[in-house]
Amino acid sequence: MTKGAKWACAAFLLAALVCLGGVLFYPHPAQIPSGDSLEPPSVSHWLGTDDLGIDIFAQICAGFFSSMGIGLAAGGLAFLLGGALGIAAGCGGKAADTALSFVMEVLLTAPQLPVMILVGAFLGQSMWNIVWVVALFSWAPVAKIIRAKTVSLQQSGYLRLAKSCGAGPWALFCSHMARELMPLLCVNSLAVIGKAVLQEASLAYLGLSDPLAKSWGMMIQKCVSFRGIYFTEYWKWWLLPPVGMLLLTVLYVRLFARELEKIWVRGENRYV
Amino acid sequence: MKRRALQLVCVFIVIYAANFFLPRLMPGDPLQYTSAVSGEDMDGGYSAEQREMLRSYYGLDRPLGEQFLKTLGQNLRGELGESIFYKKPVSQALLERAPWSLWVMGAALAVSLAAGCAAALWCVQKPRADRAAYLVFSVLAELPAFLTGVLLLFFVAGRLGWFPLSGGMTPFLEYTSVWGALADILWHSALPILTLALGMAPGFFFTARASFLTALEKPFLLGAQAKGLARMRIRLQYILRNSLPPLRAKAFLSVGRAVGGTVLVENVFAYPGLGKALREAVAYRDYPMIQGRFLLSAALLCISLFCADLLGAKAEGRELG
Repeated sequence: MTKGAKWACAAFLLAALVCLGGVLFYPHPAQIPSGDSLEPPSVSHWLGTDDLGIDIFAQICAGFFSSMGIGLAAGGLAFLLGGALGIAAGCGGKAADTALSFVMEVLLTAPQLPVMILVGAFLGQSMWNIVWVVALFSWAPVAKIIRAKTVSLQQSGYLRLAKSCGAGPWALFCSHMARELMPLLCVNSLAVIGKAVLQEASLAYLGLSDPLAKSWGMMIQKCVSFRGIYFTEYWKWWLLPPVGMLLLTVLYVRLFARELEKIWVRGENRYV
Repeated sequence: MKRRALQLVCVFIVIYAANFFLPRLMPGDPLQYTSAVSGEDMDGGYSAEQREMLRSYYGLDRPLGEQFLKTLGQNLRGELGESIFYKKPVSQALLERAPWSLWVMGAALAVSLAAGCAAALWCVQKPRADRAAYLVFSVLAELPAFLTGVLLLFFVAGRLGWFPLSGGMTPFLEYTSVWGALADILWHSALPILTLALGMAPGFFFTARASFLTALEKPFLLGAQAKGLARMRIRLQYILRNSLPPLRAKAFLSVGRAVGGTVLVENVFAYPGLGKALREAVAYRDYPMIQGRFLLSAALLCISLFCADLLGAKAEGRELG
């Protein structure tokens, strides 16, 4: 592992541990008021309270798990769908390729945020709706990359040799293609996690996330819509923690994906 | 090129059809919402007869196919239906909001293109500056528009008070001259534009950097240097001019990001454009407005993608020819 990857892992583990500890051992709940409204940080309320008197640190910890849950679910779906459909498009024949490529093209062309808003508005606001909407849009870029790689692999000499020796599709995939495809798939699905966390935060900011779940985007939205927030001191402990956590999460997920790419996909340098 | 145009038209038709059919196939009934405040399941106090009457009034009792053809005919004539909240045609409501959004989007595209190119041009022959700029732009590329917006709002507008907090112009202000009005509008749009531009500049920086680097290796550059031309002249006349085509294509490709970004940015700054209109339409469950707004952004996106491809094809053709 490179140094960057280690740092990213350490940051993630630290955040996860702190938040787990916060959920398990911190005395104040994340859903109901536990103090006066807008208390500044103190020994009892580590990061103060919001306008309803709900502890901010507890909300941050609860938000970590809902954000990460959405990110991981969307990343997992992108991994499965993007991998399966990308490979299917790459080696499934002309008809499958045309159909799947068209679907990918539609998803890549459609304006993402407006579609998400549309679905959120029509289907109602729940965690699952956000997960599948985010996943719906994130598998397409992954599948496109996997398809391109599969197509180029199909033309490679060793694969044609294996085919002419009579290897079946499963054997071809396991022993010849998986090693080339898996790193690409992993790196790109990992990037989906960070994107999904941000998209959930964006939707929550627009008021379209699950109103009962605690999420960082929703905390930011509540804080910003508080009247006169710009002329008081409250933003210091109300706005900065969720913004900081969002930034940190996105940065270490991204850093980890980039470092993994350096390690695994060394041959092709897509960033230069 | 024809094939690509056909493909984009097909994509648009699919998006259009999804936009029409999805809400109608989803569970729920618009008539239930007419008197329910929070969108809970309520009968709205209508009797069965009244409901039937309303259904036939809005044409909801017809088969889906017939409804679709009727809507299509209307849309082709430029009618997008009647907004429920604004009580006027959707196209008119959208037209009122469009200039604000187009100004912010256009200005942000121009600013980010200029800033990205300038940064790349400035860094391209300096490895150290290049490394620093690469890092900064990588971080910027990850930030979503609303986070940048909120941070700018708090620190630049809230703490320092250099820019107004929200809105498109100062309310209740009587302008003495056109210039005063323009200055006020500019002043209000500065932060939204900056936020959007910060989100898009990295894309331009990376594109510009890559195409500058390929231009650097060309033999004509060595010739120019051997002639002893000034550095600025080499940069502008030799490097920049020869890497314009990918940048132009990138500008059109960035429209997609701009469309998504304006929705967030306008809501952060309460800017009276199309993005805020979408948010409001969702809050009021103004379905015709939501769909009209959605179609507009889909059409904008398809057109800009086509332009990007057209420019790309042209550039390739010239290189081949």
